[in-house]
Amino acid sequence: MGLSDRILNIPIPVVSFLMILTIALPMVTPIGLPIKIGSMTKAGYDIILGLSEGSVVLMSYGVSPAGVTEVGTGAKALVYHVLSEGHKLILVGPAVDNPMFVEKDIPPIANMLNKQYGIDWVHLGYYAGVEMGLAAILSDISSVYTTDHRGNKLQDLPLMQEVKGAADIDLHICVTFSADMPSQLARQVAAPYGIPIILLCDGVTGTIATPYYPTQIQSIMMSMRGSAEYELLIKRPAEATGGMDSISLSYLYLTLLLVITNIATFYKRGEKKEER
Amino acid sequence: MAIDAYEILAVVFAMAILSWTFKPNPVHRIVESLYVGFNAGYLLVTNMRTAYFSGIQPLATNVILMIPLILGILMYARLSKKYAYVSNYPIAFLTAIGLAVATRSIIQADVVEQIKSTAIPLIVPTSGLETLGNIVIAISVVSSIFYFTYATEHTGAKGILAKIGIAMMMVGFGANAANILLSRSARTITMLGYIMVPSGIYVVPIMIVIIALSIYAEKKGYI
Repeated sequence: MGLSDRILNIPIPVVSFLMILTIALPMVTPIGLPIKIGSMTKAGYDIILGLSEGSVVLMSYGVSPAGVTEVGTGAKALVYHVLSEGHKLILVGPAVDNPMFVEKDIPPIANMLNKQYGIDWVHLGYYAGVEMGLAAILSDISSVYTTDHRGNKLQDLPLMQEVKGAADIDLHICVTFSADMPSQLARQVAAPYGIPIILLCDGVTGTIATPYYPTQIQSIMMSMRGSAEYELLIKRPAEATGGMDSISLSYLYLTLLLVITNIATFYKRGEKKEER
Repeated sequence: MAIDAYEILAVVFAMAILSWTFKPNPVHRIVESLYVGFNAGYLLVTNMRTAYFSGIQPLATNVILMIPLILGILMYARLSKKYAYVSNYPIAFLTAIGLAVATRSIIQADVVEQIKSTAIPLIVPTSGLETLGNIVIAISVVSSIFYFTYATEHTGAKGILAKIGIAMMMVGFGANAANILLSRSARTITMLGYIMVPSGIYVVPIMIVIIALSIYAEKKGYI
């Protein structure tokens, strides 16, 4: 077996082990590679800064077990920024497992900033129907929710006295790892109501969302990279910023693999031609 | 040092799931089944809760909710072979509403706004980079659309345009693939974060031994 054959037949467990090693090493000994803040992330930061104090932000907190690894830390950074700027926050979730993450992530942030439940922020919980549900919330919140996630009646929550539908919402933040969401946001939030949108999503959804930027979706933060950029913008580096060294090193490793295997493939093709 | 049971559980589960990378094994399968079971239970409870709070509880003040409630119950007709056809009615109802909600602004969102985004000035005197970007957008949109135009044969200049179109699409697919890698790396980082905790020093070696033993036992036919 020649060198090209050996390269092309590296066992998958070896490739995986080296990948895990390249990710784990910077976690033990951080390298501190620089992070450049992209314009798509900066746009979201500027939108939140530009809102007048007390503006109402509807946040679709689409963090669930499958997506927490990519968007969880960025979602917390966004919540921190919204609440610290004195805006009101309404949290909803398009998937059944979103509410448990809201209840785990948001109260510590709200307590840290002395924000009161019902006045500064409200958790309405899960809504069924994804796109239809979102359309119904924007049309009339009380048609979807009669109580919040904790069982309080909407009429007992001061914040919900001021907010009835899209006309009272100044910004929509959508955290998602669903590839269908960007087009749904364009159809149900941007086109009918013209509400600005900030999207925090996984890498795959980010590519699908890009054609909607910046006319319909004003800011896109992709995966851990977007989260890290946002953490730096609000000057609160956390898990995402810490993980960027691993991301950069794993990219380097994958690029190296791509180059080596491509060279080996071309070399092997040349060998076969010579044999003929 | 206080023992954190949640932390230990996270290490055990993360190790079991990661072990699949090297070889599918019984420990991985147990944890996978546990996850599916927990999730199914959670989904059931949350959905029942939603149905109660948004459908059953407000029924006293809003009788019209009886209609979606009945339609929802009819969905379960699918469980019976004899009456399975009854579930087609609520499905038809849902499909119709879904289509109507989606299409009411599809022209504005996916056609008008997309054309507006593409109709940008080719030359931006203040920024060379923006000029280059706008030219690339214009060329890639025209050539990619032309590639999917089958009314004319792609020969000569038209063939070159179609080839540029496919090349532009390949660049797009490449960017997508790179973003997928970004996603997967991010997921691995957090997964490793579950393992790289103080209790991991003890739990990881134990889990490695357990996983290795399970692979051996399965190979020998003991389990």
